[in-house]
Formats: sequence, C-alpha cells, structure tokens
Amino acid sequence: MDVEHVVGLPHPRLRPFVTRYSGYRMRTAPGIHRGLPSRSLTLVVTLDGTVDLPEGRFATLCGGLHDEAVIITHDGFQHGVQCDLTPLGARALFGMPAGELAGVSVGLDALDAPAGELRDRLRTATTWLDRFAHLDRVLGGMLRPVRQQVEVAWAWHRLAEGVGVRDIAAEVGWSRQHLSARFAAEYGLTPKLAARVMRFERANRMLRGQRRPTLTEVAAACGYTDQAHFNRDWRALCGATPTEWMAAELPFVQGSEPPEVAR
Amino acid sequence: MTTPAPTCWPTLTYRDAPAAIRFLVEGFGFSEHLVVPGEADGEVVHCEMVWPEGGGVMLGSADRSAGEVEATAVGAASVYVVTDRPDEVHRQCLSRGATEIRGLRDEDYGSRGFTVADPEGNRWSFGTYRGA
Repeated sequence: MDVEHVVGLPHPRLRPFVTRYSGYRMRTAPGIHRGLPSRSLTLVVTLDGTVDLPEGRFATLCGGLHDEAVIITHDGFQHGVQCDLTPLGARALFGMPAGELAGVSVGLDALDAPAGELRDRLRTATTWLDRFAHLDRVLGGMLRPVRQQVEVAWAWHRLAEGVGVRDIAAEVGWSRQHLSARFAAEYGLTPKLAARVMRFERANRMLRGQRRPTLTEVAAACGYTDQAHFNRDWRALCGATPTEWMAAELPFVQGSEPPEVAR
Repeated sequence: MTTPAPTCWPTLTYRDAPAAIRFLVEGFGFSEHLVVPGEADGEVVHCEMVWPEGGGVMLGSADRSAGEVEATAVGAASVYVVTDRPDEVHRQCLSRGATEIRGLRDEDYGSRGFTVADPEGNRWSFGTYRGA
C-alpha cells in the first residue's frame, strides 16, 4: 500500500469558504471508500481517473451536505485534491445555497466553474504546494459577494458549538418550525439532522486521531447516551458500525491524517 | 506511508520556500506531508516534508508577515539523510541543479554517500550509514 496524503490551508481570504485542501495519491487494493457525512461540502478535482459514484463518474465534482455515506468505488489508484467547503462557500463559489446541492454530487462544469482549466493547472504542477496555489488563484477568482440570513448563519454557528435547537430558536426569536424550515432551505439538512452530523464528525475525528480513544470514551465525550446509541447513530450515518468502519478504512487514515494545524 | 511518523525533525529556513519545496521533491525525492501557507504570496509558515525511507524535515519562509520568533539563518543548515539508494539520489539531485560538495564515495566505516548544497546553500549529506 502506497499512500500520500498532504494537507494544506487555503489562502486567508478564501478561508471563510474553503477550510482545507487535501491532496491524495493512493495505490491500494481495489475496493470502496465511504465519503462520510460532515459539516463540509466536498469539492474534488481528480488528477488521474475519475470519482466513481452510483450516480456517475466525475473528473471534478462538488458534493453537498449529506446524511448517509457516499459510496465511492475505485480500481486501487486514486489521485486528486479534495477541498472542504463551508456552506457559505457554495454561495460564494457557485452562487447558490448549499441546500441546492444537499445529498447530491454535481460535476463542476455543470456549476459553471472553470473545471477544465482547474484540472489542467493541477495536473501540470509538480508539487502539492503549487497545486494548492493554483487552487487559491482559481477559486479566489470565482468568489462573488455573499449574503446569508443572519439568523440562519447564527443557528449553524451555535449548533456547531453544541447548543440545542430549542435554545437557538429562542436566541433568534423564531419558532422552532420557522427556524427549521429556513435552515433546511439554506443547508439541505434540518437543524436536528445537522447537529447529528456534526456530532458524528466529532466522533469520527476522535477515532482518526493520533492517539485513538476507545469507543466508550468517544461515545461519552461526544454526548451519546450510551454505546448502543453511538453504534446505532454511526450505522445510520456511515452504513457500517464504528468497528467495521475502522477495520475497512483506518489503515488509510491512520498515520496519514496529519495533525490539525493551529494558527 | 508505512514508515513510522518521525519524532525528531531538523528545521530549515528558506528565502524562497516554495522553490525549496519543489527542489526537495524533484531533486531529493522528499514528499510534502503538510503545508501551511502564510498571508503573503509565496510565504510558507510551516511545512513538513517526509523522506520515503523514514524521517523528515520541517521548513518555513525566512520572512514572515505575522510576528514569529526569529528564524535560523538561511543556508546554515546541515542535514544527514539515510538512504539505501545513494547512487539514484545522487544522479537525481545533480540533474536538478544541486551543487556537489563531496562526490559519491565509499567510506572506510562502511557507508556509501555524498554531500551536496541545495539552491540556498544548505548542506545535505546522503548515505547508507544508519548510525551506530
């Protein structure tokens, strides 16, 4: 197994919209990879081959927020760059709310992005740093002014801090129903589902970390009521239990997931 | 990557860090592992480069736009890298413009290796000797 995984930070002016670049070049046995639900939209530019999803094969794509694992089948060689977008990034880069992309993956050319130019530039560059610089330039050139309802943006921010939906509704002065409807229109997930996805992402990060805690510790730290709850929720969002997922995918991410960068 | 993560990193400072990274990749065969760009164009706050046979170095730009502790002097570093492929690395780095300081040779202590300078003057020795 030959795995190269390089993480870089986007240019500061892009960071409200793009949180992370992740370059990968992996030779493994053919198989499947689960794209897990998270708080980020996923923009992928392949350098070789395609990303093969049930809905089609893509050389470049953007996938919206989702609440089930996206199953990617591959022939053993995967090479490309993944960019994590914030929901606001969908508005800034594509001029649409993240909700319009929820649960689907769309080719970048269908989103009016310079997909061909981007792929050519990345394929010509010889280092990941150069590729990230090209992404800075091309994505930076795509940015347009964004406006988002402040109540909805606030709700996202507070959910990420672990505040409950009832409390957030009280903070913004809306009914829970109204908040849920506005929130779902913007992001494509209801606040309740988004909170579940954010908690799942926290648990997932803990399991990928350098010093992996036990499943019981993760369940407790992330606020699951018990181990059964943790397992049930994980199976719903990932399509496998944590143990099955770790056995199948952690050989990739262990030792290749670089430490988080503090700035 | 199947080698263990390095726990001891030499750190280097470059005037032109993106060019240095390109040289370390193309000339020596390091891989980029993590890259943190700075606010200014071409600025690298932090970069981790790993050696395919194990270990790695960290590097950054000499000029930092954000307040940082004074970096080490540019071009003053000397790094020794263990490799089982000294002939191959030697050919590769000379073809990419490394300056030869001491040619490829067999040492009486059993090592085979060489020393070159990178484009900013840091010395890099490569050899089969793995330490006593």
